[in-house]
Amino acid sequence: MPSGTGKVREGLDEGRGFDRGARRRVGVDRAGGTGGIVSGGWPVWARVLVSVLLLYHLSAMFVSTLVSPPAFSMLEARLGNFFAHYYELIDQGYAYHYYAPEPPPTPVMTARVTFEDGREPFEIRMPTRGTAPRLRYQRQLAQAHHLFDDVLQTEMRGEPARQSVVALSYARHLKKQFQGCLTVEIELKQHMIPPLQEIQAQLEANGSRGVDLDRPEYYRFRRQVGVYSCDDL
Amino acid sequence: MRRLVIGTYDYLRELAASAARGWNRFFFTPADPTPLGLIRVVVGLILLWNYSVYALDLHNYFASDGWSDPTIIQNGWRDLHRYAWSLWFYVPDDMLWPAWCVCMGVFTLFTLGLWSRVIAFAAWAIVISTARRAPVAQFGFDQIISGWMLYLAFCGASGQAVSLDRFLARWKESRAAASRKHKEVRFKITSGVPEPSTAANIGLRLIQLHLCLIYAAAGLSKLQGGAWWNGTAIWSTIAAREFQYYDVTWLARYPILINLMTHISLALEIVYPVLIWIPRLRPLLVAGVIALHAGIGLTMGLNEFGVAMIAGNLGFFSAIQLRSLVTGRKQPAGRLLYDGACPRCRASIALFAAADPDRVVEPVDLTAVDVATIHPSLTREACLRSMHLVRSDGRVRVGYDAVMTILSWLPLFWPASLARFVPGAGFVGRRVYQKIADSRPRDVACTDDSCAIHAPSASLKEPAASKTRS
Repeated sequence: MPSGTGKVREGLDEGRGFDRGARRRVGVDRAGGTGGIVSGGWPVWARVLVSVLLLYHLSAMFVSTLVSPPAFSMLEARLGNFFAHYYELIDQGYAYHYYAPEPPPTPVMTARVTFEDGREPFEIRMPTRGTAPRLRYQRQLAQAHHLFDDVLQTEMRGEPARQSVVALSYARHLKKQFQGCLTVEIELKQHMIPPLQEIQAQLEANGSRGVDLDRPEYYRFRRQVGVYSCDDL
Repeated sequence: MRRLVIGTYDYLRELAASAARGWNRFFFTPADPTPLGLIRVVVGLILLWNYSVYALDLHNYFASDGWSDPTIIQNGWRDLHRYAWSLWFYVPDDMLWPAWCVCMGVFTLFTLGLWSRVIAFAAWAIVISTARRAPVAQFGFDQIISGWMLYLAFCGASGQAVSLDRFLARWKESRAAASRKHKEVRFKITSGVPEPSTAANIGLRLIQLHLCLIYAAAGLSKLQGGAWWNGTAIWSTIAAREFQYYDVTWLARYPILINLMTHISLALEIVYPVLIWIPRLRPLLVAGVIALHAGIGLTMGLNEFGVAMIAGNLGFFSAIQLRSLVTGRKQPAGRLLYDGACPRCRASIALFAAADPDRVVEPVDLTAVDVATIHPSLTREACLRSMHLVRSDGRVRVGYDAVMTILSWLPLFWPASLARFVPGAGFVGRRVYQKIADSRPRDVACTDDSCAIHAPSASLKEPAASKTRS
């Protein structure tokens, strides 16, 4: 995109922020039609071309926020499909529905690797508590989330959970990490959020000792995604 | 009936013309690129941090036997995304570390703003490639960074301010001005304020609009959930054990406070996209969302996400305000008396002038003025001996102390000014400065008393040079 070499050289600090004083300083003629508006020296064809691209992009970004569960219309879905390739090309198309409609429970993945030679099985929890730095831990949380989503989608397609693309990918990774592996078992569970009233009651009972959010009853939706034979992976 | 048709037609025509004028003004008015440059710096620093963290799991995320198995991702996942591309797919396992080094190099250049037009595209390509190669590790933070990178790369204006590109261009310009010797009393170089550009305006507008879209989508989608209506949703975020950064479950004792936090955070997300466009309310809203992201960072540990969102909010800051954070309100903050007949002095001044974010320092050639008019305590002889800085509050710094004061005022050189806190730095610095000053060459033949300062044998001590005069 060419850099503007506007007619005006200074006094535009607020130009992008609707500063009317600044607009007057740069000579914007509000009543004089487009011809009177400072446009950074861009020729009309450049402005028209960029405007078309901006309209397309902004429409795509707007539509992406509409097409997301739990509810969207057939029209929104079609519009979303129309922009699908554009989203893929530029890595956009996110809905940004953070913690909506309500903050969800957190998926937790556990994987267990067993060995042919009778070694003690190796277990890994995703996310692994105490992982530092925090961003690394957040990526582990994301891994568990993506697995959970993919398992749900796989089941919604009527296929068994073990055929989840992400679960299969994780199982292969673990197989390659551990020589002599016999099986990789992947399990998912959800770490629930205890209701406010329940914690209030616990605080009443415990006083200042606080509450234990890791109690077994707070883990639900336990399910085995699959047991993968290392020979088949 | 005819009047109705004509009236409707006129109304629609005026509406279209008005919309076109508004669109033109909104997107094509040149804007100061300073906020965009700052966003680039913050995003660049986040990316450097992000890829440093990736380095801890480089093979786990990018190798052929990583969590995202390339055959499965490409065959199963990528088939569904035909246009999704990634440079990482072409990097063999034994080249992961060199590739990572290249990425860090690109992000460093991006942060510094060197060759920024090309480098911004390269940085954007790396960000996209990573999102496609390791899709299972991506979360909200990556979505936000990907958006800002898109605009920083495509507007082509991210390096027009707060960048080495600009510093080098200005240095070249100020050296040219300095090489014209001392015909001019003051340097005739341009102000540090960058030239407004339409490209910068488009980049900023897109970031602003995208930010509004994010907050609107986040806020409106929450209206579907009962917990956001009954005021307990914030509890669900702070009691999510897997996210917990600091244990604040004691807040359960104060349900009204939880209700208040829930309602305020939801209201903020919903009103932000509308009220942020009102200049008077903008500081309130920006302060509100900074508090919101700080709270999310403290309770859930989503620190990088918060910084990325705050970086986007810089797009709503006034460039004047942003500059005043480093330049102060009063300009110039000081007038620097230098020897215009000395090439080395002129080169130093050119360097300072190139790094000046506005008009913090005003260089004055002492050979062309009566120095007493600058400050009554100054004498020509003393000024010829060492550089003098007359601050706006009337205080005078001399020699090494003048240099250190200027370095501390200029953001680019500010890190170098920290050297003055090293024990003994002042003692050594003053002597080194004076040695350099005493041995400096001059353009003109010596015809007056000031020649004494060039005499190699003359041991010109500087009785008051290193002190601060009031």
